Amino acid sequence: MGFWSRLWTPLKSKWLLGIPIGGLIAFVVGVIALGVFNQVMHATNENQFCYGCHIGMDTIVEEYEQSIHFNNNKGVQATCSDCHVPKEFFPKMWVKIRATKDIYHMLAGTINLENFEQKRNGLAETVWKTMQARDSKECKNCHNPEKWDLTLQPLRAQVNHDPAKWRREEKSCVNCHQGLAHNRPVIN
Amino acid sequence: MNIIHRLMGLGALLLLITTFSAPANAEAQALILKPFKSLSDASKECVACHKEENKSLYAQWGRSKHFGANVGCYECHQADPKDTDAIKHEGYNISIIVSPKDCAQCHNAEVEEFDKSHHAKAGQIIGSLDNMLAEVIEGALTLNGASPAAVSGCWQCHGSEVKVLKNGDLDPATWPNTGVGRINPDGSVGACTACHQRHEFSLVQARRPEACGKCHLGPDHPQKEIYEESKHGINFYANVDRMNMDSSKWIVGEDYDAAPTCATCHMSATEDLPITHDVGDRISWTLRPAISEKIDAKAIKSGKEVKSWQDRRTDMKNVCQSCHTDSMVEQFYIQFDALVELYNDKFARPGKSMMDVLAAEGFTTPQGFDEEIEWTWFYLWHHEGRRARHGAAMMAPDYVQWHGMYEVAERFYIELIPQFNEAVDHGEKANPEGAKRARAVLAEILERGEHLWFTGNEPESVKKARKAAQAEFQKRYSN
Repeated sequence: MGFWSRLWTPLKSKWLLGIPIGGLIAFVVGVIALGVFNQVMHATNENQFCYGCHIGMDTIVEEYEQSIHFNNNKGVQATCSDCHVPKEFFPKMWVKIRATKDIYHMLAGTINLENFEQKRNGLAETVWKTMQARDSKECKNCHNPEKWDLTLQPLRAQVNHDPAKWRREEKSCVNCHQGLAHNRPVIN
Repeated sequence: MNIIHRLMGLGALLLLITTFSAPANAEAQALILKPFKSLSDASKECVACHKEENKSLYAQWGRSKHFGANVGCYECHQADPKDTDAIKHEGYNISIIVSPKDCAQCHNAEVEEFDKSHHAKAGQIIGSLDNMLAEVIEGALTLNGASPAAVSGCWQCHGSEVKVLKNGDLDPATWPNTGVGRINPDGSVGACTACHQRHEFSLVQARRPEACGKCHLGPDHPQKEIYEESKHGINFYANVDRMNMDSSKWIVGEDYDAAPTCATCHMSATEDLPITHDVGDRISWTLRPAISEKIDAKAIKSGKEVKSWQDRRTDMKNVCQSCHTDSMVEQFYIQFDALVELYNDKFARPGKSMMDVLAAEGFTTPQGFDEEIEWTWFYLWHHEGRRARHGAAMMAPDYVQWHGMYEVAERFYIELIPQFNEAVDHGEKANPEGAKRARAVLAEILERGEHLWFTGNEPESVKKARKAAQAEFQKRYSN
């Protein structure tokens, strides 16, 4: 009996039908789960998701909305996640998982409007270190050093926008560009 | 799904550890404003970074009077965003150039005085004879449409017209520049830093003769060297520790009496006179042009009212009298005037009329510096003639004589006259009538008493009298 005719022969043991049916169910469930996962990934990358906790807890949203990354005449906007969440899968997952601890701090009220200014420097330093460790990759997703025309920049920018200099001095964007979207900490 | 997340998380953790070994050299990047209690918030922010970025500038500012007066970076570098050289830096509109307009926020009297001065016009040399030299004759327009000879030469003293490039940079042909007559992007004129070195703005530095000597030196106007040769300079360097150079009021005859510096005579306070930043305020002659004239002559001709040369001389005499007797000052001016008149009458006016007739008759081209006699004439008045006059003004005998009148005379008799004759001979065929007129000009000059020695036409009586005087002199001192 050939393969194809065997395929069309009714089965002797009915339970064997469970294999394709089970496969089908697993596939459908998998597709749905993936869809949901994707939705969750997207939803948790939306500004609204971040705002949900940060408004009223600190002032970073208000500061961001004053900044050029939020409000400009170009019609381009960098969202919270554009800067704070990597685009690659595994680093992204790592950040999102780590961020679940923030839920605890949110509920416990670790950071609040009263103590935010005292905590700002420590918080900012954590973010700067994270960005430095990633070689400011999230900045470069938009500000691509391979695509900019240095000759259009003023000389004081040109001399500091030399990748060889970055490597030599172990620096990336965030070493110089700080306090862009949120107020820079000030120690008085 | 949570398990999947965690697994993925573990994977991500491993990946992170292995992949991202970029250096974490983060230092505290917050702006630390602690040491600056009374400074403006903006300047505090500047200093927070720049005390590390530009340690020397910070240290110089720290020693300045500005520091004590809470005048920080932003108070001076603040810019109107409409200024073409304004840049947005860390949220502030600033400019690299601090112009007299910026300084005038506090030092308005000084800037007003400066605006009246010849220094303020020093940048307007485009089209002048000297600029023709650097732009065309010595140079070529190879640096953003300018001549490197002008950029690094003329303009560094006279001042550039600062231009802003499309990308916001100051055109490197025009900046860095601290020429005294700089034309600034904010429309103001001058550079206080020409004399008052940033960022310390030390009184001592500005009062020392070296401050002026950045520009007032060299073959065409050796004021610095003349000063060093003069009794004034000798006494300054010998007694600099008694000069009380950092005194705020620094009144000559009161706070110091060892010697004057350039600033003492031309700017600083006496018991009667206030400080002025109009450096020509006490000058009676202009010793700059081919033929010297009184300093107000040009203004009188154009109907402008300015301080008269007599008033200016009275003020200069007032400075002299802080140390010298009235009669000594009067007699000095008699000597000085006589030298200027001698140069004017014996060489400058004759030379000028010779050059004028050559040009009028077409024996020289309208183009300057393409004929030898034009260089000869330029050396005569612009270099040697000025050296003699400046030497007399500030008492440097060697500059009056060997660097001055001696060379003027050689230039006149041994170069200018032969080259004049050559030019006339050369053009005679084309313009015989003109040649006659030109020769008449020279003949008239050489018939004057002071030139008769050259043609051998001195009257016998004059020769005899000179010989007798020489013999008498030798007899008197020979034994």
